[in-house]
Amino acid sequence: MTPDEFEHAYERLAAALDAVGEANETLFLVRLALLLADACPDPAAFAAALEAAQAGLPPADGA
Amino acid sequence: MPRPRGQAQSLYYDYPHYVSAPAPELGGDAVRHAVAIVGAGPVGLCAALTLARHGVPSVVLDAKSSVGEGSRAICIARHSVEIFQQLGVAGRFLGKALPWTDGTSYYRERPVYRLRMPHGPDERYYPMYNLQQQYIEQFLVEAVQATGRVDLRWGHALDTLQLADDEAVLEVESPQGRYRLRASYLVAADGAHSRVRQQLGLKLAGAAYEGRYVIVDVQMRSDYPTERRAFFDPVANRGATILVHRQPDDIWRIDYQLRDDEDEQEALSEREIRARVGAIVAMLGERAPWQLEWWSLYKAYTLCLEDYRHGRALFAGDAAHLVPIFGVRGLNSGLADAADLGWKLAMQLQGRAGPHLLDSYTPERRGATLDVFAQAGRSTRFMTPPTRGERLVRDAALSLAADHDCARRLLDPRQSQPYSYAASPLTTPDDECGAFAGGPRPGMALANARLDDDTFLLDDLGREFTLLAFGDAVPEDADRAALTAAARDAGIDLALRCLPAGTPAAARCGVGAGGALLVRPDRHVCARWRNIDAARLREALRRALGQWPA
Repeated sequence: MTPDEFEHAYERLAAALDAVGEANETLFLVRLALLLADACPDPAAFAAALEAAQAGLPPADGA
Repeated sequence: MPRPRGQAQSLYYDYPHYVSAPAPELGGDAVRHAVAIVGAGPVGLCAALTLARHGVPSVVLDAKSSVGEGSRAICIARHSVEIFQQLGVAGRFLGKALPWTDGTSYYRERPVYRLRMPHGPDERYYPMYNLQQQYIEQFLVEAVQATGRVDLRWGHALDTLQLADDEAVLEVESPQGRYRLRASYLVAADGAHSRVRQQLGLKLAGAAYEGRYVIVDVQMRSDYPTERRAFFDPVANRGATILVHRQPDDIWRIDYQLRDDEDEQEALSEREIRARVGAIVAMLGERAPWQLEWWSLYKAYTLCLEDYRHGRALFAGDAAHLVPIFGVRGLNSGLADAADLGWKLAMQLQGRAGPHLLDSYTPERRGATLDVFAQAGRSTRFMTPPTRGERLVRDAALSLAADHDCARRLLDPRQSQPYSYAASPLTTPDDECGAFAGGPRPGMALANARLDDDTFLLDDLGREFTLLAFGDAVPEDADRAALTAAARDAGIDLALRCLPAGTPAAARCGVGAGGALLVRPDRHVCARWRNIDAARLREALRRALGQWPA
């Protein structure tokens, strides 16, 4: 994916999140992650993406 | 003949009452029995039948005076029917059971996955059958009684147990009095609350799952075909799941998951069960009246013993392991335990086993249990997600399943399959015998391939080990004589079957002309060769009998 293509993906993801609405946000994101996991040719790349997405998150409520 | 039992008010089944006879020990007969089996459930009865098939008598003790109450384990897999065939009860079973191949999973009200288990004209048995457990037990009791080799003692309950180096000593309570029973070996097939296990101070170890299911049988006329139906988040049980199976006699099994906030005692009240079942029957679109038959509460566990052998005591079925119902591995796994243990114990008692044969029972059958845990654990987590994260991913997968293969695959209930003993010390690995393109690898169960219009491979297996030789593998009488003599050297009455090469059966066995498979008494392949000779056969048989040096 080129930088331009990635930027386009970024914009489309934002637009899709706005379109599905807050109530469907979590389900939408998990569905997306599963479909991307299936499309990802390298299981290690998916594992690395999972790890990177978790890194640096603010503490969960009550943590 | 058994008499109907008054206390079990079944809508469709007359529970037999088996008469309790006084034990010979009460009259001073102090004989040491070859095998005592505690528990006359399906696993204990199959163990007794397997021993009898190999000429070994046994005593079976059960505190009850009838078959077990309730339909309980209803789904019997093809490989278990093959065990029934070897024990002579397949005919009775097939005459009553309902065969099936398919299933449908629904997410909310939408069908999202179609289960279709492999089945074709070259299979003798369907991949799955439904039959209430009490029928299975009744058929097994009838078969046991016909052997003349099994002393079946109803109303006789194990009280205490002591294991010595050379025997098991049981104190037994019976209606006619208390007595001491001695046996060279003890098979514990006394279920989840095993008295044998308690007496030996053994505990099951493993995990318990959160999900709770109410299991209900209702009698209802319906034309809906026999298949597995799974409902995720259905209108009749929002936030939870329902499973529906058809049984003979117009009985329908409905399993519904309790939500986390539901009180167990309230959920098991007849009033509540009627309300829940009424809603489910309405959801299924059924209009006919229905009646409650039986109900129970179920929780999923993956628990097992560290070792299935403790000296002279060997554990089988729920006494050795508790597995989740999803994938129908409970009873099917217990029957495979009995098939494995029965022939080994027979060889041991007949002085034909090496020092390692009985010790192979744990790695083979506990290995099978651990495999079940891996498979059924996944199914259980899908059916009853234990965390918020698992629920989110499960629901996302369900919502994708109708349109996406990757998500659909997650709905496969991973139905019970026979376990491969590839890693067993009794199995001769392929690398000692040559390379094969297909067929059952050593350790796998033999496929019951069609031989002609009416005959299948299992019909022609011997009681002990069978050598299936294809094409010109054994061209001369002298070669046959050498092979059977080699088997005799190992203490085995070998059944030698010569089959044509190039047939569909040979293809399913993966063996070309000149090749051969060695099959154990429990139908598992323990060696195969591109070319067979007497020395290789003798070595494989010795290994399969645990006859390597201690």
